[in-house]
Amino acid sequence: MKKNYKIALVAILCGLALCLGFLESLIPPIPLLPPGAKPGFSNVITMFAAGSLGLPSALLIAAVKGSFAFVTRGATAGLMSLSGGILSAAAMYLLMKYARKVLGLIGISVICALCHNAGQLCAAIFITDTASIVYYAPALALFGIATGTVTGIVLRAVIPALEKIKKHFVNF
Amino acid sequence: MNIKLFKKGDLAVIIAVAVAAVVFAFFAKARTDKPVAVISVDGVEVEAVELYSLNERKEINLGGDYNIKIIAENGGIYFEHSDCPDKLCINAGVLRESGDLAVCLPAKTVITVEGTDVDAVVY
Repeated sequence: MKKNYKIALVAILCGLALCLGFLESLIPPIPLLPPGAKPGFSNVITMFAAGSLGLPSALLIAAVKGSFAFVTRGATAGLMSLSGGILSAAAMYLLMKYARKVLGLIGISVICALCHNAGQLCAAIFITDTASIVYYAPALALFGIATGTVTGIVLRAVIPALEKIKKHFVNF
Repeated sequence: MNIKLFKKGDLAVIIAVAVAAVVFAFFAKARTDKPVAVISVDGVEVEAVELYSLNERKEINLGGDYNIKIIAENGGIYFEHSDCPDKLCINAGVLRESGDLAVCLPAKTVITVEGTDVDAVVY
């Protein structure tokens, strides 16, 4: 793939990730779930980028998501998005590269959801300087198992469509 | 991208995480009698409310950039008002048991409910 075509493709994926993030924000808060917990649909896109285009593309998508949150929702939201996004993007790349013999998309996606949570918890502890926020960890982990599983299944389903988009750019 | 949807390893990951989460939650919630709510701003404890001995509604105005207002009553405590954009602190609802917490990230304000161990059996 020529370099400028890859840039265009990553830009399209960034757009997709931002759209999914926006659609997700329309879902009203659900009681019983830890506040702020989100399904993370846009991770489908980041995971595809990590597996199909490599680490820099996945990190770039996470960075664009973080910057978008920073501009539209403020510094705190930007930092939370970035801390979770970067860590989980790195985990996606490493697991898809080295753990594909032992783990499937569901397992990889669940671990990445947990990495996302861990990154955000660390950022929240750093912001508030209050360590007791770790009490959120169990609820977040259980929710992460559910959303990670869904993300893995959805990714499997949309891989053909995303590969088709990619093909346009490869065969240009 | 040629990765299977599901492998046995996935099940091991899910079970391990679920067990760890439940065990952690169990120990966090274990000390529930005599809950005390601790309010901290930027890591500094500003107020501790003994929820179990609370007889009247108590208003705590922290003010600050986000005009934080916290209400404690009937053995529970909650964020009543904050000017932050996401309102996650208010959506956290009423905290009652040890291990419950609510956070207002922009205001760096955290309410945690802790158990007091002071009244261990006296011989």
